[in-house]
Amino acid sequence: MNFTHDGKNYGFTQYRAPLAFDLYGKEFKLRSPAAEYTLRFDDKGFVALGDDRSYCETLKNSNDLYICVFGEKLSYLVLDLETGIALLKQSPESEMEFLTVDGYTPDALPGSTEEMGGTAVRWNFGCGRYLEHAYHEDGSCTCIWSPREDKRKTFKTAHYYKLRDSFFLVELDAAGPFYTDIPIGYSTLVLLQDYDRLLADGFIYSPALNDCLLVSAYATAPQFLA
Amino acid sequence: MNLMNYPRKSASISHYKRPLSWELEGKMYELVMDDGFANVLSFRDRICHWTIGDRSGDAAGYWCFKADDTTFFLTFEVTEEESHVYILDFAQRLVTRLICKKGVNPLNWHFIGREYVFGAIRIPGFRLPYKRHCFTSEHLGTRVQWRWSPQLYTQHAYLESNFYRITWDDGSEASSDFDETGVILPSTDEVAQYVKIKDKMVLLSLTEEIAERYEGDKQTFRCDNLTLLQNYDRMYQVGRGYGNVIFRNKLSHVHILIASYGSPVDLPASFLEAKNPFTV
Repeated sequence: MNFTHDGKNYGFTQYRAPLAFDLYGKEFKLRSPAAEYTLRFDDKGFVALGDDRSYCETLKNSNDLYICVFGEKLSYLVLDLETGIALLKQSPESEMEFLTVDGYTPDALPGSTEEMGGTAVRWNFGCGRYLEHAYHEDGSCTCIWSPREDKRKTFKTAHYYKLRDSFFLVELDAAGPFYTDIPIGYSTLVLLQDYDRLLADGFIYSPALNDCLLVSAYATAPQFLA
Repeated sequence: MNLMNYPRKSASISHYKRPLSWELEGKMYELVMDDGFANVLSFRDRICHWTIGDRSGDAAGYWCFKADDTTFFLTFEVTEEESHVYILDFAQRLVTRLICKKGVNPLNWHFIGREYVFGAIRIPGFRLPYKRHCFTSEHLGTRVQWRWSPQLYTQHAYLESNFYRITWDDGSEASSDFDETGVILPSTDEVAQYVKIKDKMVLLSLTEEIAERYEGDKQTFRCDNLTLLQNYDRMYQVGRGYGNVIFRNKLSHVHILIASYGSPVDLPASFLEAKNPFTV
């Protein structure tokens, strides 16, 4: 029996990494000049941010670097325990908050970055299922969705954040054309990218369905976007 | 800056390795193994403390990956001559242990001896399962392309229960790394064992014995063992490489983490149907 068959059991989420439960049993204090939160992973698959407890799913992108998705409002958190920094977005409409973890005092908090301008990459999410991105100097992003290499679109709705050397977070509202490998309606992409190992973890989100799907990907050179 | 040109080190088959998992920290497991010897693993401060019968030791810096949400690939070195691999399958409460040892062959020190033992994980409140992981041939006929890095991909065919067959095409970095092998050896079949962990998950352990037997000192990698936990549901595999390498005329020990992403591949009939020249 050929176990690969057509290798498309999960479609766009095929290469999703195993869920990480390293944070189970841990508690963190997140602080910014404007806010303070207690973050508690008190049960496998659950997280409490202050008094709000909800189901969460966590992927581990690198040693001590996690991305968690949780809550009815589709909150997400990037937690970097190596540098003591967290990025928190409490809903798709809210602003990104930059926080320190457990009293760490990093030299600088991450913020928006222009360093990604000029990058062109193909992220492979499953067997033959990919997104090609070209991140431009003006902050826009050109996208191609498999299998429709003929259709490319440029969006001005990209946000780029640099966490540390080689680690970037990309947030992109990009409604693709019909008949691509990404499920229809899942127009928002949040991807934590490591350009050293060329691996990424994150999720795609559908505002219409209020649903998100975790994804993981590996990078290769783009074929259609220079 | 085009971040695809980020000055990353060449990592060959370790490039896409996933981050280590520390979920086992603070835990202790009693493994009821079919060889009859008590086997206990406990994890503290990122060190695995192990006992097997009368033997015990600390394995500093254990490496642990997840192949799916409930299955762990755990590996550590006792010494450079002995490597342990455990597949901890918490969904079924089963375990497979593989111990690899160098220096067991009196004719060639590089040959790696392999010992498999199956067993169960004792979890309080649950009965010990009677089922076990087992050697398998269910997957025979699988053809898969494994991508190890942006430039390196190889194509595997699993056609016989004790061998695997590898090839590559000109577009892969493997064509410059391995082409000499193709000239010297009559085929790329190599010794392998397969253990079924669960549906669509196979433990592959291949050891480059045939290349070592034929080529010996001409080789760079000396009878290396690659042990990979293959998840065909998600089409990726995680594992470790263990053995020796000759680098700049010096023998060095190898113990590396490896991983790759899979995709279906069509392979030519001439490759798939060729007889294995190393068997009767």
